[in-house]
Amino acid sequence: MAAKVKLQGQEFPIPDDLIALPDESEEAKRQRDNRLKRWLSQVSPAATNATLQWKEENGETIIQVTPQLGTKGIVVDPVMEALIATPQVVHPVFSLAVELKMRLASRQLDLPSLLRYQSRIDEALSDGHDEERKVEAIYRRLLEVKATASPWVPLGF
Amino acid sequence: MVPDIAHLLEQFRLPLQLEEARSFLHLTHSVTNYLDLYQEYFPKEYERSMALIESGKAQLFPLRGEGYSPHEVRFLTLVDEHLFPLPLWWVVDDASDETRAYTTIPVEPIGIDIGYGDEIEDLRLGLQLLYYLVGEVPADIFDEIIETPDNAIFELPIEQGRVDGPLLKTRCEHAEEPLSFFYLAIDYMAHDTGTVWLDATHDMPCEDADWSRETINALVEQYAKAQDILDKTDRFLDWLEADVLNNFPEVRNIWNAAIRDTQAKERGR
Repeated sequence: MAAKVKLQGQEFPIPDDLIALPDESEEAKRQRDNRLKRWLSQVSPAATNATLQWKEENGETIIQVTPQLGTKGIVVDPVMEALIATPQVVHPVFSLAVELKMRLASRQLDLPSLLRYQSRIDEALSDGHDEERKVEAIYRRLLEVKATASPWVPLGF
Repeated sequence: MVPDIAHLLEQFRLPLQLEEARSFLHLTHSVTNYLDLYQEYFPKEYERSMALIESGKAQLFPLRGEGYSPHEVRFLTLVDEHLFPLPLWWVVDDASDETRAYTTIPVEPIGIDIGYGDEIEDLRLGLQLLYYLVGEVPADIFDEIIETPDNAIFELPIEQGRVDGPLLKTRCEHAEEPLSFFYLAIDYMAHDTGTVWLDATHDMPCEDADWSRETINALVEQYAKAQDILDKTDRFLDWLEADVLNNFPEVRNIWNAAIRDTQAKERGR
């Protein structure tokens, strides 16, 4: 019988052997649920501590997965929140290069206008280098940091 | 024309990678700098070039893959003709977007560079004699060049020791022209003229001459000074070579006296 999982607004089928029960004992069901949670954690880490609700709908087995409040994304969320809160910016080198290209194509560049751009070009190249230095520093620190096992099996493994 | 269409399309092509965008900004900075200098140093030619650009007959930026736009080639040629020499054969003729002189002026020295294009044996006789005088070459390199009776000059004793430049200059200033230019020939050989044109070498190249008014003006000034030194050195060497037997001893006398002056000065410290 086909089984589907509903998790965080998504619905997808799961392999039958993943939810197969050797018997109807509570222990077998507990092991099945743990097995399913581990598998689902590949999709969403929040599934690790989720509540599973089993029901039948139109001849299908539906498993509603509800992540537990207060425990989801303990590790991930602060990082995600910081990333989301970061203002979106285009690298100054890109934005200025595009602006100049547009003015060049529309024949709006001459010496006086180009001279007015000189300081902006200097700033863009300098700011860009600052940003790249920061990224480079982050990259070096990531390389140097001690490897730690993930609590979740990465997708595809 | 297809090339014009390709160039037009190229202007609309937006950079997709950071390095490409950065290269375009560097190019724009450099194009602006060249234009600014062109207007400053050659205003009439600048106006003519700008008229060509405004009428669409020439482009403001170099075509893709090329080192310079037509007005930049004109500017570099004018610099070479009126300000100081540029190695146009590679700066312009072999230019590409990778070899463009974005920020630095390619200075090609005009002095002696022993071991890199110049060998003492290939220099003019007067210079070879000076290299002998300062102890850089032995007398026997002149065996087949200077014969009797001129080779008697090699019997003259030469003082050994350091020579203080200002003391040598003072000694020379008491002599008549062109012997008075002897110290300039020594400065020329020693890469100590105070001009980048004669002092820079393959081992000590000039790599920090930026395209700024201050540097251009300094190079113009130094080029005039270098030309004056070369002219006076030539006059001195012409005189020396004209009568080696009688003139070399006079040079040697000044040299020996300058060494003794230097030793006396050092003892007095």
